[in-house]
Amino acid sequence: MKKSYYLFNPGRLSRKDNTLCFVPVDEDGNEGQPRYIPIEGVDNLYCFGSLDANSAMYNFLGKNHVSVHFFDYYEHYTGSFMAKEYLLAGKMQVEQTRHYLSDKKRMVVAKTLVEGAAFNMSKNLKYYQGRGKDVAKQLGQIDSFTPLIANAGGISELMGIEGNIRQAYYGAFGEIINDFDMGNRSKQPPQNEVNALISFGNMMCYTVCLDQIYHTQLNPTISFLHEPGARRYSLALDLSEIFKPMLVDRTIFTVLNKKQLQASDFRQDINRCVLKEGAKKVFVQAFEERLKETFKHRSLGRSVSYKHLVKLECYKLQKHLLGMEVYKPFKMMW
Amino acid sequence: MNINATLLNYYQLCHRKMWLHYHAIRMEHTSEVVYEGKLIGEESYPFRADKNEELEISLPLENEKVVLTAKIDFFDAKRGIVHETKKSAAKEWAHVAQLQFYLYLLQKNGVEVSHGVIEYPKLRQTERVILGEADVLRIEASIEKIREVLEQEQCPLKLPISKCKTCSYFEFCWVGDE
Repeated sequence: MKKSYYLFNPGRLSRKDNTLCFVPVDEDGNEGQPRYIPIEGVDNLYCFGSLDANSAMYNFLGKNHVSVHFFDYYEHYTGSFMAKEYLLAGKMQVEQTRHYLSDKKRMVVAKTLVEGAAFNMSKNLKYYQGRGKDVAKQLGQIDSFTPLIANAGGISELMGIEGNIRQAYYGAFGEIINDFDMGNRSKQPPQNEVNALISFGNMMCYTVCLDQIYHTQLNPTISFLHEPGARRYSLALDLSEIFKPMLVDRTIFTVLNKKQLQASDFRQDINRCVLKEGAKKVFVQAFEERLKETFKHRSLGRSVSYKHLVKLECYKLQKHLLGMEVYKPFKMMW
Repeated sequence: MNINATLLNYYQLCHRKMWLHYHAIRMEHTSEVVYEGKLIGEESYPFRADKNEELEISLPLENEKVVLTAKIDFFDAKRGIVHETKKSAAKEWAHVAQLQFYLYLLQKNGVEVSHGVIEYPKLRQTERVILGEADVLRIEASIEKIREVLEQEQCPLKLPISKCKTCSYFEFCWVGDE
């Protein structure tokens, strides 16, 4: 199976025949031991450190449909190198656009996405309720907002309901997480440790969705819940709504409650909280393990990883847009 | 509308697969079986890899709405023999139909053909294929039916799951609720 590679160390990545070669470079400019990465095994690259590379390397990656995602010093997602589209399908594109253009059709998909997200959020809370956390109040709030989704008259109203649900949901984080307070959700920039992790994790989730969409015929810029193309690849934002509770939030709870990350792993910069180098590695590794985790998929009768599940979600969306099957969002059952 | 040997092959396997493939909803890139077949086709006869023997051919039908197309990997023009390499460990009817489709196209284009040969490198066997009158009728009838299915607005229904297990569209078709 293809793997994601995370480049934290600065260095030079180059093409060596038909293999990738990474040569780390230390602070004094000394080259370290080169590491060779067979291209067949590379799914995508995440680049956190500073990277030297030339166009031959990007041509090579492009030919092999490998994307590179870049993050800046403050662990913001700054952009991706995406290889040329290789699965263009006019019919798919037309149907996707048609579903965006018709308010009625667009609302059907957007509501389904919010419903899926709400279900998965409350599932997370119920899981922790079962482990003795008092989140009844927040669960009650989510339950009272959820029926409003079906009656939402427009996208902005739907977004409002989604926002209320999410606010109630985040309100439970302080109870679930042992040693940290979350306070209000703060972003751009995040003000404390939990918010910093949420921002970082959501970004990782977004890139996973983007990668999976890339390997289907869906167009990543045409979205339903979020406004298309306004920022980033908005279909990836749509999809990540469904998966954030399962992939990101659960990972945050685990790394904090198991004390894999502690207060000393964060740095308080001017008006923002930042993960230290080591903290990023810990989180990315936990997140990657989460993605690799498998379960038996009921309708397929096969073992499926969480990462692959995102692609399966794309297939379901494709079928909906082609008028083959009504889209039902992935719902966490455990 | 272009109809090629792949569609003809899929038509015999599954109408839904054919419809999706025609509309460029493709899954072959996810299939190791397909990749293996490609490698075997490319690597099995290293001394024959003469690009000059590759042949692209097409045939517009009466009203020109349908164009039959084919990309033949190896056509021995001197002897009039079409070669096709298959990775399969078993001989299949679909392979024969594919070669007959090539022979039909060549013949309709006025090219002198003798017969086709399917090569099974894994079996170390070859199979000789000829194009009879009944085959011509069958090809023409299939093309008419393929056109009908492809012109449908709706994607055709899926087959029983037992037939889908090795298909590269399996997950696409069968993913539903978890």
